[in-house]
Amino acid sequence: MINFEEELKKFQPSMEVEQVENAVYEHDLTDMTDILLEMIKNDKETTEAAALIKATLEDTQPM
Amino acid sequence: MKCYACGNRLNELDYCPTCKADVRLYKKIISNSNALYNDGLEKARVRDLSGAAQSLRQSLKYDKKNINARNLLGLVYFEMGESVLALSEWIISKNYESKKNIADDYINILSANQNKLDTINQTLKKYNQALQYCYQDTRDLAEIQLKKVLSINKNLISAYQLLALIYIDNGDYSKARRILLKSLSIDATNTRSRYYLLNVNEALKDIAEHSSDKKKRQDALNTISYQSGNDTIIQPALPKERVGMSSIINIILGLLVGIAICWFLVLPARIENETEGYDKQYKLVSEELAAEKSNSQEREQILTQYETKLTEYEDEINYLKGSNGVMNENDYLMKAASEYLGSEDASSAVIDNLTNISEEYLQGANPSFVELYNILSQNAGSNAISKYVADAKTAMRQNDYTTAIDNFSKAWNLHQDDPELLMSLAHAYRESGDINKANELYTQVMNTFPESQAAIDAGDYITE
Repeated sequence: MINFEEELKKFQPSMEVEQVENAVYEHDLTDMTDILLEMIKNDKETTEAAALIKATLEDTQPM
Repeated sequence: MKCYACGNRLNELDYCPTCKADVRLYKKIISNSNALYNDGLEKARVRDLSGAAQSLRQSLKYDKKNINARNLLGLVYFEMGESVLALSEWIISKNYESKKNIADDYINILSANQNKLDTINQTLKKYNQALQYCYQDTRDLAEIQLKKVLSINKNLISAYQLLALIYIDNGDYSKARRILLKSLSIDATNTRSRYYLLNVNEALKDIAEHSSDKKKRQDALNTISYQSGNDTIIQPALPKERVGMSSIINIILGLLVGIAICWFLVLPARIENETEGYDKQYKLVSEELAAEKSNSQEREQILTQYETKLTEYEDEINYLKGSNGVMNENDYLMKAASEYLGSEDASSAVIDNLTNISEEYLQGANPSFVELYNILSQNAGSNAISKYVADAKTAMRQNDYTTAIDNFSKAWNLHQDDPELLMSLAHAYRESGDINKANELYTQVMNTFPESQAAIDAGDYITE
């Protein structure tokens, strides 16, 4: 049987027209493409960092 | 499709022809987004709004710039009564694509009609107020608010669900079912609505089987529900129409209304049509009568004038004929001529008759008449004067002053050049006692004959 109080908690207040601006600003617009770009960027940085470390290590190895 | 790195158009290869970036994964993401959009579109077409919203949200998770998915999501939200969510999606869509974007039209439609927007806003505020009432445990107030909201915003799914929840908590399962069925007609697969409806059906079944209240059992039994595959088809309980007495009453009421309509609307119009013709006839007859009356009055006036003229003409004719008993000028002239021819001594009689002919008549008389008058007047005049004077003196001696005055007056009228004659007349008046007349005549003597002896004597006779 339905519990009124429990079900009531699931109801959220509806946004009013004055809150449109906030709704737009707070909208999470991150999508898979952004995540992919972030990953690629991180991947590039990781690759660059690895190359830099490698070069440094080679430079500092004793002859 | 454009490259995510450089923005140039991609081809069928797995890398960008311009910047050589790996686009295989990117293409897959876009493809998934489009597939989810298509799924959302199909669901929206069959009114599975909740399912469509879910698919479209997922589509936008893959590609936030999927304008079609975002616009459709806005439409779905709007259909579910969530106008603010719809507006926010359309605004974001317009930001990503400002040219040739249908979201622009949707926004304009909403914002153009400010009253509509205000109404929508009011319903959302009322819904929030109802929710607050539920939290405060004043559910009857919440019920009233929700009914108001649904009367204006018929698509607000959450309002239907909250109202159904209140009904379920109050035990009004029939009302709850009606509300939930309305909600499902908007959003066919809404999970919460279907869950509530399932509970309501179970409750109703329970009542039908076990309740001691006959009415409640009857209500529950009126519900016919059956399984069709995975769906539960529920036929809502329709209120039975009361037949018999109520139909007779309705018929009687209908007859009364019909009679009243005929009496107050139809009959006056017909009466007016009938009487209009009579009014016109009456008017015509009245006008003719008035014209006839006017003509009659005119004729009477003319008749009266003719009668007056006739009388005047008759009098004139009688006068001319001498048949009215009064002697006219012609008679007097004839009589004078007759007297003169009868006796030369009848001078006074001739003059007496001639004096009855007025100067005015003489001026208008014919020449023959005037000539005869003059002849008689001249020939009889001098003899008449002597006779008048003799008669006057005789009368004076006899103290008959009236006769004396009369004869002296006649003599004076015939011969007004004699001052002595005028003096005699004045003496006669004085002797008769009419001093004023006597003084008048003495004065006349003095004025008319100033160099005569009579004038000197007259001055002595004038008394104050």
